Amino acid sequence: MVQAPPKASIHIPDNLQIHPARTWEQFKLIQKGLEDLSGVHLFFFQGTVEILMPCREHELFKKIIAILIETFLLDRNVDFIPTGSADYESVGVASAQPDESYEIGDHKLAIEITVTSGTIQKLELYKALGVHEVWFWEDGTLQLHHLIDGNYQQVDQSQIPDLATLNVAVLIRCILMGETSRTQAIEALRLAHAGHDKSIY
Amino acid sequence: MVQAPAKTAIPTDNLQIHPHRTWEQFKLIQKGLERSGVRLFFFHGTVEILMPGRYHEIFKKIIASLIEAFLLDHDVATTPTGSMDQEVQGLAAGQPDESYEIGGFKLLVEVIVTSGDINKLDLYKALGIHEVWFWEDGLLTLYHLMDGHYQQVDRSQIPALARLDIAILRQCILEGETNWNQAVKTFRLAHPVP
Repeated sequence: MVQAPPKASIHIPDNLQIHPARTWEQFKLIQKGLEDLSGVHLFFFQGTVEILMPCREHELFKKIIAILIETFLLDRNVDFIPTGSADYESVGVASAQPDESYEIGDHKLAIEITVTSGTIQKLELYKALGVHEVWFWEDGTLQLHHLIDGNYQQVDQSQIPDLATLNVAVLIRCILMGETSRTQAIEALRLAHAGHDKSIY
Repeated sequence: MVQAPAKTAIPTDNLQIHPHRTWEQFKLIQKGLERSGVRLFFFHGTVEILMPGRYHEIFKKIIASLIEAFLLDHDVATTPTGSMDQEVQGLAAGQPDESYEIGGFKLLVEVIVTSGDINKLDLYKALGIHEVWFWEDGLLTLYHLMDGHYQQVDRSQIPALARLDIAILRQCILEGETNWNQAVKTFRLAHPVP
């Protein structure tokens, strides 16, 4: 009862706390109180604070997707800025720490693994933050949303020019493959894209 | 994915454990979460944020009703302090499920659904709480502070509660889950006013 259990269990879900009726100032206090904790992602939108502590499965898929995207971009000599889970913030309005994020040319791409949904509408949040494209990984599938005329539209292919030749169906297959083998997933991604554009092959 | 789920009472507790925090960081979190219904704990650099679930709240209320029936029936002078912050600045902070001040003694009641990393007995010792009652997995365990250490006891060592039958209390708490009104009646019957 009073003893902490051993910290070994790994099949635990995300731990998400939803705190409604918070002000921006209260969010900033919470953010400062929880600063430098790498395992904590904070979100604020429309008076709701979400404190997310991602589980192992969440982190695993995040890393696999990141590895595959980065492989694709690096193979094509695309210079990008990997911004990871850096804060996106619009003062007083919205704040988010995506699982992964990139600046590719002038485009901002955010990637979210959805294991446990909160109450914050993530697309509305990212719209308020001006993120051009958002990819959601949930239940074994990938959904892409691109900001077109101020609204997100679901798209089949990335609308970011440097990712336009990335085959999303192949990517999904490789992400699933990556759960068991990262090296095979990278190999399969490279093979499937080898003939499609003037890459290093 | 982007749709908010319907908000229903969560059955289980949600506990977040944040290590390597300073007292100052704890106070920022506490201020940011004021009046949000969460319960906060701080001890040895660990912050715990507890959002009690339905089960937790039900047992808290049942236990409180029974204790309060006893205190009221037996005319025991009591200050009911609820989940009031218990704090020793820079060192320890806790918000118990229920708390009472009874004739110079501090009594805390904690329902344990999900254990955290903070050792609650060490925390409450640092806060100078005289007696702590834990309800966990259908069992009630009592600890009384004696010579600076908690010792497990069979009965309350708070004089005004000495006649409270712990075995009957436990039975009535369990009964209260299905029939709250009857549990209070049973409990009162077993503790007649002299």
